[in-house]
Amino acid sequence: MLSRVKILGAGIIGLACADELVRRGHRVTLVDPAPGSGASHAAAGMLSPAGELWHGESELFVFGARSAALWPDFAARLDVPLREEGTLLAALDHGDLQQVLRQAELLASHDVTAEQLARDELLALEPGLSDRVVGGARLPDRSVDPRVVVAALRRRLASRVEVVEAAGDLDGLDRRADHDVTIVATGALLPAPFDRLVRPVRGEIVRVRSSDPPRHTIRGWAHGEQVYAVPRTARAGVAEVVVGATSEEHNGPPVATVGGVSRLLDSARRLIPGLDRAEFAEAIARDRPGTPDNLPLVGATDLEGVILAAGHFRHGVLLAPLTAQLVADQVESGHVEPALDPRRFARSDLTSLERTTA
Amino acid sequence: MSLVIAGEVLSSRLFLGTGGLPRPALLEPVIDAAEPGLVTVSLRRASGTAPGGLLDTLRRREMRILPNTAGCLSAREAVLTAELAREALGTNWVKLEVIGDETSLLPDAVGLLDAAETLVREGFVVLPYTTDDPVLARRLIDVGCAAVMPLGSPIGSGLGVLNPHAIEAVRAAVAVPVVLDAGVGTASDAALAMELGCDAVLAATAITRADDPVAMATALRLGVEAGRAARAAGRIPRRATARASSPMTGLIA
Repeated sequence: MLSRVKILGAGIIGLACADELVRRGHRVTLVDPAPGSGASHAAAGMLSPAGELWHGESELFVFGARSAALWPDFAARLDVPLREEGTLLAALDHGDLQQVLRQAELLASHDVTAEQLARDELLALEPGLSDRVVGGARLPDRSVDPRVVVAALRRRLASRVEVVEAAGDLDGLDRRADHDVTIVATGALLPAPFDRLVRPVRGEIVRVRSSDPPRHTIRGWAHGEQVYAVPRTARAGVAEVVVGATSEEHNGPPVATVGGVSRLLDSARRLIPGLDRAEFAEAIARDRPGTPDNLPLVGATDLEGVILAAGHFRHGVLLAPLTAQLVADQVESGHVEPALDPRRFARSDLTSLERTTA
Repeated sequence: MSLVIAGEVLSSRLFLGTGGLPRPALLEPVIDAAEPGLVTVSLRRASGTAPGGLLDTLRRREMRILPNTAGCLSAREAVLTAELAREALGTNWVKLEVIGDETSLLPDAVGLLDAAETLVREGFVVLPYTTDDPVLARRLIDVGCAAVMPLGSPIGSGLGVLNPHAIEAVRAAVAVPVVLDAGVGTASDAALAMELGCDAVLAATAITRADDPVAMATALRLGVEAGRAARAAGRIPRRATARASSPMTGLIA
């Protein structure tokens, strides 16, 4: 049965859902006052389930790996290039190297081989790294430019969906004459009653232009500070390099601070000294939509006809293609992944943030 | 005997720092395991009153909240942060940090004393994060601090108590509670601090960045208990030679 779907939020998640639903023949209206201007506009675009793996987050890793496997087709459909050069973990001192080894061990327990690299091997692969690196590891994780993805999705959908550039809310829920289903994909700004399920986690991120960019995505530890540098494809010998990201829980508006930007750039220059000569292009901040268990909220809710595609925290770009499929499956068959079910947090007990099962 | 700071009875001698917890869902299980006497929060990192946020959970669990001035690089910044925290969180307690440099994160002794004096005058209950220096500890108490929180080793280093003699000397220098702060990596570090005479131990990274934060919270609670019990039990002297545990006198040859 074909549905008429209203999607609140035209970031990478809302757009990917729209694209998948349109492909399956459904009719879609997208509502967003400023499409593509939220977290998607800030995100670095690391498609990095392995790099993001942490203790106790095996489920997230499995979903990440599933979505990473969908990315090549997703990108090809949009005619967006993926960077295939891979990811290097790099350590500047002995304590940092222990963090790399800890990550490699954790990956090994998930059947992912992180090829460990001695200092010389690391420098041979990435000569732009500081000669003070002490070692690292190599991961196959790719990257993509989320701004290019969002632009491609918007171009592709322009003639296929209705786009309403206005603030969307749920007040039309009881008046669903014009649509059967509402999908909420508004990132860190969920409307009530779902607002308690996500909290804003500010991330500051910097973009520079370099004639001497790294070839790989670099995920580094610089004397205990974590920093990453994600290169884009060079044009006329100059490449954008995205340096990120801070992580701060707060109440105020997401603004880039002097302290945050300076810590990011300090750590990045320690790892990749050539960035010292790069042109400073941009510093912005956006809120990540954090959930209690770091897993997104994808599926039906207790409100009839309302589906969440939200709470993607650090993983919105990676998880976009999988989320789109899961949301379309939900619309068509009611299927939901239990681990991502928004109802896993008891509504009567939202403040406790405990899972109702498990 | 319970730990008393500034006239308030605390329920436990393990203090919990919340920075670095990978998932908010871990907070309650960690609290259940650690049973902390108080919980420190950085005003910079806590999402204020956001529902379901850190503070929301701590308040619902009726935890005693100790705001800190983490990351402040001058006395002025620390005083401003403490004032903001008092307003936002409704407590006049503050863990005072004045950081000397961002590499070592060691306390700036001069700025610390300066800020402590100002905050005490403004009516705060001040618990200063300090170096393991008995003279500075004495000076901090002289300006009216309610406790001292010497470091075992640098923040987040997990190196444990690097100078046990200095911690003992701080203990001997002041009559207020001594809380070992910073450097705890595992349970034996917490036990050692208590054996040296500390009244409590604060742990943050040791718990939040462990593979299994809930299990490590349990381990540190037990470490604090074990160390305190051992201190009270009175340890045997260290000696350079063996001494048989069974008496050798009076035995038939």
